[in-house]
Amino acid sequence: MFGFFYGSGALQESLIMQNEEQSIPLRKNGITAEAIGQDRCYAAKVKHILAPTDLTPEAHKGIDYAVGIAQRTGAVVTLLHVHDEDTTYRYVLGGDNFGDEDVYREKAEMALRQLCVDYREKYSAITTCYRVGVPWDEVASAAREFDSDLIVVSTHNHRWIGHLLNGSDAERMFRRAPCPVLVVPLHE
Amino acid sequence: MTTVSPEPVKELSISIHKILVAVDLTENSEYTIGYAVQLAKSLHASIVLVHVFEPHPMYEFPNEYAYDMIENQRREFEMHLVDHMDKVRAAGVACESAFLDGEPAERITALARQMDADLIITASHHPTFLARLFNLDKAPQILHRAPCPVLVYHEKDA
Repeated sequence: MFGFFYGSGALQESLIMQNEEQSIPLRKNGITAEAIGQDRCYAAKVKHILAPTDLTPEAHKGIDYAVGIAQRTGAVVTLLHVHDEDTTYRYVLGGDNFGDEDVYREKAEMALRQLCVDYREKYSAITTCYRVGVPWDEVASAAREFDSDLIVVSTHNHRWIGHLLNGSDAERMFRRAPCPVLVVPLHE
Repeated sequence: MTTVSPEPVKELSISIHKILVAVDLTENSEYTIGYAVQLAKSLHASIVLVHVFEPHPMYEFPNEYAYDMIENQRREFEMHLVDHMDKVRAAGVACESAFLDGEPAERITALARQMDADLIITASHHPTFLARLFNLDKAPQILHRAPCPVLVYHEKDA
């Protein structure tokens, strides 16, 4: 709807094709020891990693992690930026005052693309995605759309990513997210 | 409306060698362990399985029978943990186990700090409002106290 998807779908597809050779059939309920021994029941192969970023340097640590894991698992990384749109603000300004948002969007997309280019020096399978809406909803719906196996976020409290992990918002995110969530703390 | 232009990317220094897997030994734990094994394989890391035994609080004055029951339960859980450890070893990942007593989030994060873990994997089985109110969900507690990254696992939607 609002989402724009940069990067080649063909690249993603070809990478997924590569991974399919090694993929294991989906496990059902009830794991037996033999099944684990034969390595059949673990279908949790990481193929797609979603890395939400608010484009601050602090968020890079989370992306570092996502790319680091992707380097070893051969997953596709999607850098996601969600513009936390304030609907009240928009309403007060009236329908035709979207100049600010357009400027923001342009800058954010530029920054995202630059980030993507920088990280591609390390690892090639990186795409970007820009969305507008409520952050945790958009992160969850993007994860569903891309069929992500992992969401990697880093904690800091300046912007919406920090709010994602504060108190009930963290819990809300775990509940909405369709896949495991990896949280990288900054205080190390 | 300020957008910070990204800084130049530095060398990636992601080293995950020790993964601490906190399990509550319900049937969901197998999936958590399965995920951890898969991840440990691709990262060439070793796993430490942890279970923190937390008996139900007894409000009445307990008799001998109750203590026996708790003892039995404890022994059962310990055996369960060893079973899981054997399975992980059979899957080809270096694995150790730790069986602790006390407050789960406290003990797990303390152990992570002590053994210098690079990643904690845990599961969130009760991500509901009531569970949060009654302190059933340990994942947020672990998350807020952890010295290292935390992976909160739950089953992927079909």
